[in-house]
Amino acid sequence: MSAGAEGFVHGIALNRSAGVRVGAKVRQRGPLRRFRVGGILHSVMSTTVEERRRAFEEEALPHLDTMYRVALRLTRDPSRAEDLVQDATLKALRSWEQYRPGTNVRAWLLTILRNTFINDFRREKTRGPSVDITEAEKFSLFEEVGDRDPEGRFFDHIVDDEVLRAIDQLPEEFRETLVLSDVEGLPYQEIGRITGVPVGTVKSRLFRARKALQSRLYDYAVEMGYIKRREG
Amino acid sequence: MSKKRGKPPRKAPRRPTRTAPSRPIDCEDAIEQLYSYLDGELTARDESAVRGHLDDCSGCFGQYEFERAFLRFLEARCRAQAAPEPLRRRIFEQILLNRGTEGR
Repeated sequence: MSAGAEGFVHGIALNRSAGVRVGAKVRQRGPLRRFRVGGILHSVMSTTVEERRRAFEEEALPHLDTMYRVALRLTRDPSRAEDLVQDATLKALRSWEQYRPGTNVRAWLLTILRNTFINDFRREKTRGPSVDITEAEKFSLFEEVGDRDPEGRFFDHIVDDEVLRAIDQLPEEFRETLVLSDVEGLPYQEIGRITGVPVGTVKSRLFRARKALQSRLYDYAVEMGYIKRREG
Repeated sequence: MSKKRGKPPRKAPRRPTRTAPSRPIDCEDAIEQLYSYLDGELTARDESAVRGHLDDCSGCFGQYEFERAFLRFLEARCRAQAAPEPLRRRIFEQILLNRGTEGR
């Protein structure tokens, strides 16, 4: 390869060892390698920024909704969530070479989103305090209402905003785990990879988050008169 | 937005293909593994043990149905939010701008 085997992929600098800015477009030295397939002239150097951009659009952008929803729960603020997604997307685009095609792009993107949040967004106090959820672990909503409402009909009265508000009151690591699992449907192992904890921790966080959420939603439903609190 | 999700909805536990020999478990064990069962995170063997218990125990089956309803409710309430159009536009513009001016 004429463009230098290390430091360059598709004519784009990957590291600083070559004495150019990372990400800088590198002028190709040596001839373009051309070959013909089916009468069409192909060039190996054609894998440039343009194709990279297209690959990014096709693979990464379908996960934009997921990134936004996770960002919303992390920041608890729509405008900051947008900024976070935008920053994380730009970072992902700039380090697209580090993504290995065929591996899990969603996990890769969510890891970047999470790191961006921790490094650039978490410092300022995110609005709204988190509740203490240690008590809620012992709570069993089924024991509370199962005999009266075995199908959980009272859930139907609770609107989106109320559920989201209840999630946002959970401590960060719990609401993060909950949204990755219960909203985005990620398996435990993938959640563990993204959040940097063992699968056992994911499992226990999820358990506690669900219990805490059930407890809050129950209190809310009682308050609103959707269901009566159990006697005694 | 009607985006295809990366994963099928609430992972319904697989139907037993061949019934792996699994020892019977009691209510406590079954309830402890209930969420993992609902999440499709158990090994085939453990899954069939839980399923076996749920088939025989109406109390635990009731709790299974209740928790399943809760998880479905949760998912339905939270997935309505999609990335707003202006954000989408900004990101596309960003990608276009970034072309040719790689790096900062």
